[in-house]
Amino acid sequence: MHNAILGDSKTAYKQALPNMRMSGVIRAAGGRYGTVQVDGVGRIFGDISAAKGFRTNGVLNVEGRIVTPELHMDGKLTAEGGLTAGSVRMDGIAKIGGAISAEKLNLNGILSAGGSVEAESIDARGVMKVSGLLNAGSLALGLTHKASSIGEIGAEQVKVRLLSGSKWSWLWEWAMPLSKPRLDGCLIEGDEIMLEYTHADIVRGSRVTIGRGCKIGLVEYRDALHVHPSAEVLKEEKTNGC
Amino acid sequence: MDAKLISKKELLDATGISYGQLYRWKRKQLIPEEWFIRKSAFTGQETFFPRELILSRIHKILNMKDDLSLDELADKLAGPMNDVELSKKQLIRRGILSNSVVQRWIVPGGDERVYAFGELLYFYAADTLLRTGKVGLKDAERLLALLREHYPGCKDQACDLIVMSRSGALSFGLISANAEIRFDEEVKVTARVAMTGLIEQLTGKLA
Repeated sequence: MHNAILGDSKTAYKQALPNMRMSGVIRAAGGRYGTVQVDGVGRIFGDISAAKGFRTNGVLNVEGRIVTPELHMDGKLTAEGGLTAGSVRMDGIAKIGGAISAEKLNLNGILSAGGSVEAESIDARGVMKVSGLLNAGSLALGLTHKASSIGEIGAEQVKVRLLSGSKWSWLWEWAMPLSKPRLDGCLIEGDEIMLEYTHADIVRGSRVTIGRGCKIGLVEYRDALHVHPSAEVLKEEKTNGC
Repeated sequence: MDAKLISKKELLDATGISYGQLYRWKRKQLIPEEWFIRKSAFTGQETFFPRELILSRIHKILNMKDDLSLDELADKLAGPMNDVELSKKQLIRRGILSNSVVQRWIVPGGDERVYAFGELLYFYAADTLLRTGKVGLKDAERLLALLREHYPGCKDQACDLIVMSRSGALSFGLISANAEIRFDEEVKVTARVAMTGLIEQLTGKLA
């Protein structure tokens, strides 16, 4: 639904809105822009919407929410409000205070969201920390570096796997010995669920695969369940849905 | 367990839909956020839904989803048809409100009057209660005043309209749909109607 809004604003304000293009150390007011491009270090005060696209390189702090059809960030981005976007590409560290709603979310790095996350497809490598519900059409999460935590996952397809460590993983492990890559969650629900290195209280789905390194309290499945010999499942139950 | 609520698991078993479908519909805003009611149960946190609302909504979605895309469906189900406006004449001709309501409130109004969805909803709520026979026309006047005054403030959440009586005198109230409320023994709750249900019925009648 937000897509319609974004689409409208895209055509209606394409000509009328000013662009924001800044580099260096910046401080700027929020508001409505055509495209926003920020290179460097800076702070934007208030909500900001970019009708065409939002591109940031460096360290940017937004004291409000971000609305744009296309967000591309490299570096570090902090937004105190939420994020509403069409397609999102994040390379680096992103910290969103509120909810995230997007069509497509690509992550390489660390994302933390204070609210819920909604997207049609999420493809992430790295670390995700979501305190609320993550609701997605498909979620592919490649775990690296340190623990991810997602309060609740609801999706058609959930695929969580451990990515083989990068060249630098030994350094990371040395620097943060306590943190092993894994996913902590309370509840995971979906149609097709494949998990690795996941600790969760309850997993419910149609076809469920519990892979290496998982610790699950209860698995409820409709059609099929596969459990890796090294995984721990305290209780499993077949439900007789249609 | 509360008979008015249905757990997520029961819902999936009863309707044959999958978790993925449920979450997709939530994402597309076909199922309002407020219908997801969290309660703690022996298995930890469980999600419940208002039984009748969710069942009728899911049947509607299942029936229509072959003909419409999910986005079109969302617009259709979005509930309040905010752009609906009926003139006095149209309103009387289409027979949305019962005769007694029309005679009492609509006929005396000016001929040029246009009724927006919000206002129709108030009359429709009054009408629904009048038809149960538990509320008289005089009391309904106060009900309309209550809705005009307070409904705009709570329409973003699901709320219920309650009618209580104490030694024959009726009072009306609006409370949030998940809330439970208890009275002393002299007060009886004569009716409790979900506003979201009324909105849906009225939308259906106007379509």
